[in-house]
Amino acid sequence: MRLKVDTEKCTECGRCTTICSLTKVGRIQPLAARIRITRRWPETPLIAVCRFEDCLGNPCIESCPFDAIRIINGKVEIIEDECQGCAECVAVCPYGAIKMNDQSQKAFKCDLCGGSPACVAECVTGAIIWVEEA
Amino acid sequence: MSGSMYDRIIRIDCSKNSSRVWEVPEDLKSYLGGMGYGTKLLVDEVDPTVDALSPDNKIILTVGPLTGTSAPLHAQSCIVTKSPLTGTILNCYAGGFIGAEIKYCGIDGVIFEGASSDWKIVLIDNDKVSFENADPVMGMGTEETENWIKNRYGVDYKTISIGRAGEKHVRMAALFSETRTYGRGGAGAVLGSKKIKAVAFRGTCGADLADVDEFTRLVKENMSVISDACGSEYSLVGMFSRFGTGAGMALVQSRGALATRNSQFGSFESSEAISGQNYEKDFYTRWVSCYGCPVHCGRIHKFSTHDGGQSWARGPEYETMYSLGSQLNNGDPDVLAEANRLTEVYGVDSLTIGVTISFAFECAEKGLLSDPDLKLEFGDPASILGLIRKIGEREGIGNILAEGPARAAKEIGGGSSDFAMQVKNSGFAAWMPRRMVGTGLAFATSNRGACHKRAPIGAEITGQVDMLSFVDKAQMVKKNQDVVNAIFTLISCRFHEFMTPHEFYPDYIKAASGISLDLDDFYALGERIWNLEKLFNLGAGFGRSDDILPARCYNDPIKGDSSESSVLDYGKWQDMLTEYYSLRGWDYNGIPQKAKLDALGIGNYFRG
Repeated sequence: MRLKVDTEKCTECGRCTTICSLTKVGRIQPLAARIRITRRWPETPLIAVCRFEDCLGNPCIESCPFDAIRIINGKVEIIEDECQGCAECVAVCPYGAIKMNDQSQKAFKCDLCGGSPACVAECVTGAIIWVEEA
Repeated sequence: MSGSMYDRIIRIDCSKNSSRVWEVPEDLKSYLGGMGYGTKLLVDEVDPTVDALSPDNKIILTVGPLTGTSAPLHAQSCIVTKSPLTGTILNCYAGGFIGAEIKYCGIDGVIFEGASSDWKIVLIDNDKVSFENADPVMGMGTEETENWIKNRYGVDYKTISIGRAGEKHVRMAALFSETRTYGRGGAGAVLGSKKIKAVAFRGTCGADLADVDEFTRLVKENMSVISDACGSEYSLVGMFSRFGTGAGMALVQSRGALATRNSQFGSFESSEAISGQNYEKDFYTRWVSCYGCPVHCGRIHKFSTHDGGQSWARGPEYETMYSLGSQLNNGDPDVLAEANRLTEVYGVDSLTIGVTISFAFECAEKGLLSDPDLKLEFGDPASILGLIRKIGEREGIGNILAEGPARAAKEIGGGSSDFAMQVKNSGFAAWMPRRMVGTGLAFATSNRGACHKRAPIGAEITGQVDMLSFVDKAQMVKKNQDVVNAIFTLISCRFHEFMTPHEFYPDYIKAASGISLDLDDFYALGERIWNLEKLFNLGAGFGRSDDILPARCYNDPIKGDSSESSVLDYGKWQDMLTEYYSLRGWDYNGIPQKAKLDALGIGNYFRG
């Protein structure tokens, strides 16, 4: 299973970011969301989120000097306790999907909610879907 | 805090370029937020007789308990001030993303007081306020100003700005936030009078909820209600979801209620060309939403400009399809889109400016007005675009028209007041009182001038009730006004209440802010706010004779073939107004009686 995004269908409502933050940090705080929508009017927006299977070579793993990014159960994960806050991974991510927490100075990104992404359920236009194959 | 309200408001003294965080007092909290906070604060702090463009006026910008949460259709923020257009109290709203960002600053609103001695941009970072020199953006359009601020101070800022019209105190000047507009009543001129060109917010605080699980359950249920409505062929909001707010054009046309050529006609031969469906079919279209909204009634279109160029805009929205379309006999969707865009550049309310231009065109037809550069003819693109520019610049006849349709009619004379389609100098929204009696009563009795937000439009236009009947309309209008005032404390989009059972509101409020009230309390709050507004307007000198439509509505039959109604019967109209006052607990002159104010818990505001 993988996330698939279709920017043509995105209306930029941001429900994905709202619900992501509620799921991940227990309150509504789009800055803490693991997905980000960037407006480019009049054209379609950018949707930045970790794309796992679609990502060629997972450069974030290579980039981490502390080996804090590893593949666990088939998914790339940032081990928060081991992250030293160097932000190398933020720079190399081809999807712009890794962010830094300003307070803790740790990197964070989407973990697919353990296989049932909250953002997908919230997207009414099908701009983010959860599919078997690409 | 334990809920969605921060109980903090920033007070900005523009005169001193200073600010302080103000704790919300207990007696204000029962007003929930949004329009409730704004109205109570303005009534308590601003003398109704002040000049709206003087430093004594205040601008109160607020959000509510559902702003910035996951509750769908709660993107809006509210401005309350004294209107320079109408002279009444004003509340106006913009959607988009600004409301959520204000909440994320860890505040429930901002109050602008006094006036700066030179032009400023106000930056608000959480609760830290700074005043920046606005010289580089003076004279810029609203989008240009907003882009400049984002480039200079950071793309994360959400902005509110005024255009040249606000700088020049055009009485119909609006405030813009990324194309969303605090449109009605000239709040842009008030910000201009305080010499604030723009305000930008950037917040990291997020929003808390009193009961996350219950709130999540409510949102899920509400989303399902909305999803059903959006999927329904016959739901109005469903049509807006598929074709934007211009989806209802054919319905309004078929009912002979599409105000055309300064409300002389009730149907427009080119209505299809400027409908939402046509824009969707013939123009590049992208669906866009306000914060958290699954309806996505917003539309971005690309269009051709009169000089052969290409441009794009969000909209036009339905009300603008009327004001800059049918009302001006303008059936060219490109010209309409460009005119809409130009109102954004100058920063004016597309409704009142459209009505003012249609008034000017009829004045020209009757030989009462002319212009050295423009033909002032219905449907003439150069005249439409040219007058928007002249009003925005206060240039030539634009300086007279910038005062609003009623004030301009007074200056122009020749009986022109009879066909200035306004109430209290605010231009008619897209509906015809001669075809929709209840909507007419709502226009006349609105506390902010000809207002469609609290009118029984849906019931009348869809034929749920007889649109030409006077029976029960007073009761219907009162109920609409109270309900809408109540939901504007939260602040709900008007479309939310179209779909969502009212029983949701007390539950939402409890789960978000922790405040308990039942549905009757909630309605009573709306009524309490309505009465406070009315008291302000009485203090400003308004009376029964101001709750009236222009003479055209009582005297001039609608032309064209579609409308069986002739005119509003003046005697019946006055009887309906008396009935309305009586239902409100007001006397014949519209003065709220002690018993009513006592019942609403505001007896201390009684002024015999």
